Amino acid sequence: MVSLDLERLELAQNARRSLERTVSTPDILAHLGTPGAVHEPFWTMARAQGWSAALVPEAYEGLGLSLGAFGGIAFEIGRRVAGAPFLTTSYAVIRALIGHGRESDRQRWLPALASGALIGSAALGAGHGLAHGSLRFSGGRLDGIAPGVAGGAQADIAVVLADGEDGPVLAIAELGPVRRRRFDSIDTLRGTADLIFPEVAAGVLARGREATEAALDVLAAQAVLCAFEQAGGAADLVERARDHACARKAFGQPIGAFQGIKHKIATMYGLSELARAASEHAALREGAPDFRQAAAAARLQAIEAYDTCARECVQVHGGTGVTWESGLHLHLRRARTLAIELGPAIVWEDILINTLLAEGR
Amino acid sequence: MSEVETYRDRARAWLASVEPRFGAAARLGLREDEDLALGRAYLRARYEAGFGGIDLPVEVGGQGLSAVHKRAFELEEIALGPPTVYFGISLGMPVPIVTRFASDRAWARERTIAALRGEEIWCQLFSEPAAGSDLAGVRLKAKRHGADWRLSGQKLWTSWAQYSDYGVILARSDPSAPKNKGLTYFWGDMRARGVTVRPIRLANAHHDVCEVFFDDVEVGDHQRLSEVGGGFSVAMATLMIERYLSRTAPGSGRRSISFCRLRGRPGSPAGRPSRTAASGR
Repeated sequence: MVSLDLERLELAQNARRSLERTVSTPDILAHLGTPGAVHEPFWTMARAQGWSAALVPEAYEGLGLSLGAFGGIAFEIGRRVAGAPFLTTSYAVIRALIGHGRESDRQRWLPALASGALIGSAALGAGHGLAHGSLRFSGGRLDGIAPGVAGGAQADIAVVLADGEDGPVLAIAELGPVRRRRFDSIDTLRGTADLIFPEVAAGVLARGREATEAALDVLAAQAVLCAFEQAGGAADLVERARDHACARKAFGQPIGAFQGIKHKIATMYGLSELARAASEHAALREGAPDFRQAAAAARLQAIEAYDTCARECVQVHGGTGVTWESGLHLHLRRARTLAIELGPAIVWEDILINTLLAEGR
Repeated sequence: MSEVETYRDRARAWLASVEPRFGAAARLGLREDEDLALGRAYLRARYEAGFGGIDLPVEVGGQGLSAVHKRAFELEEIALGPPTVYFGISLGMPVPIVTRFASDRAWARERTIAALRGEEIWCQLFSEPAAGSDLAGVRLKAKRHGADWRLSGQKLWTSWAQYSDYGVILARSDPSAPKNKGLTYFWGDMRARGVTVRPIRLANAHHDVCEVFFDDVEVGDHQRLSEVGGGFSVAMATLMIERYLSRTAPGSGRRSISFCRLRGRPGSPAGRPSRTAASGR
């Protein structure tokens, strides 16, 4: 156990050093405002470091890391507000293939996802209570539109939840024939796009109740990874708020001496630590019956922590906080985006309540 | 019907008549310079219709009515969404202060009317890098130069300084006095030699505020709006207006909505509200 923890720590520290070399605030600012922009140096480094392979089993040319071990890296990525959302979005496809794919499909796609040659994304209707109603599956083909898909501007392959003739279908499709409609958003580095499917050939992973359950499992796993990223963002904001509160003086003393500031930072710290703890807990429950419940708790905690820290850190910084140059708005943009990308808090409150009610019966 | 209600009806009728020209819809897609030009035209029309400087004294070119009348007009104006933002500081604090404290009354009247007509804009040069909440900590130096003054130092977060013709300035005239006793309040010409304005890019990619540098700028003693060393009380008078102002125009939800709508101008990187961000919490 001790050696595993040390290994995790080392992975995270290495990730932190690499990210500090590769991703800077001015770099990211330069990419902002271009819909579908990708911070290539980040993605190149992520592949070179094996991060794209981290959650792929060794049998398919991956590293087979645990969710917790890779979570430590995601935490560092979040701290840096790094660009290219593919690690989280590809993970949806990896997870769906491992849980529900045919062996031939796994062999075909997992090694390419591991190397990063193939980019995955997911349209599971999370923002719409798992039923976007705008995508149909019939006769082995997907038809319709999947709105606002993260990584959709670049993805090669996607798992989607669609309406079939006899209930929901979880399907997988290569996106060659798909039309992508990019749009401007507050965080253009997420590569968000509407995917328009003109009768695209797709394979079935699951049907009916099994399909929605599978979609929820994929979302839960993504939510845990995302929660680590959100907790990392929150941790960076706590440190930046603290540093500013110690350095900036008003009325002859550091502003951190004033209750209005110090209590804000204490609240931020509490929320960010709870988010980190909830993410770690959820990662440890991977494969356990209460995984979905733990994932929902981590997601809710992480949304609140990152949102609150992003807002309050700007307040602590005063005028400087709202300048373009400070880059604090990168966290604000990312916090808001991650808060809705896998479904907003209300969806996860429902998921959590449903698991708790099922447990009580 | 009360007198204020009658006044509000008149305001509503006039605003409706100018909506096609100055309303929120007319502003969509405008560049900032075009929006500012439209704002100047709107202020001129507003002044000519008798709705400029509602609560300012008649003697300086205002309407001589109450703050309640002003509020009634603004509540109607908010719904129209005209480009008044560039004049908010100008007409909010500096102009009323000049009308109250300038000793040359003819000059004060001239400036006030020009500002009410949108021909001139004033800024408020208060905050500095080391003086934000702690306003009495301002360091910009005012040094005697014969009977007159020379100003040197830096101001920060000065709204719309890039469009301003004049500014009110809080400066330190006596570094040896206790910090709120050593201040003097002036007005200055923003085009004077030695004044440099540098707009600051904000998180939404707009440039609503500026850094302003003063390098040995000549200021006449007639430009003084307070006693020497009595600047802090005029600064407090300025901030009292600001405090009450925050209860009026910007406090309205309807205005905030039209503001969000208008800020998403084409060509402003990442300045648009996200479709998805707007729909989720």
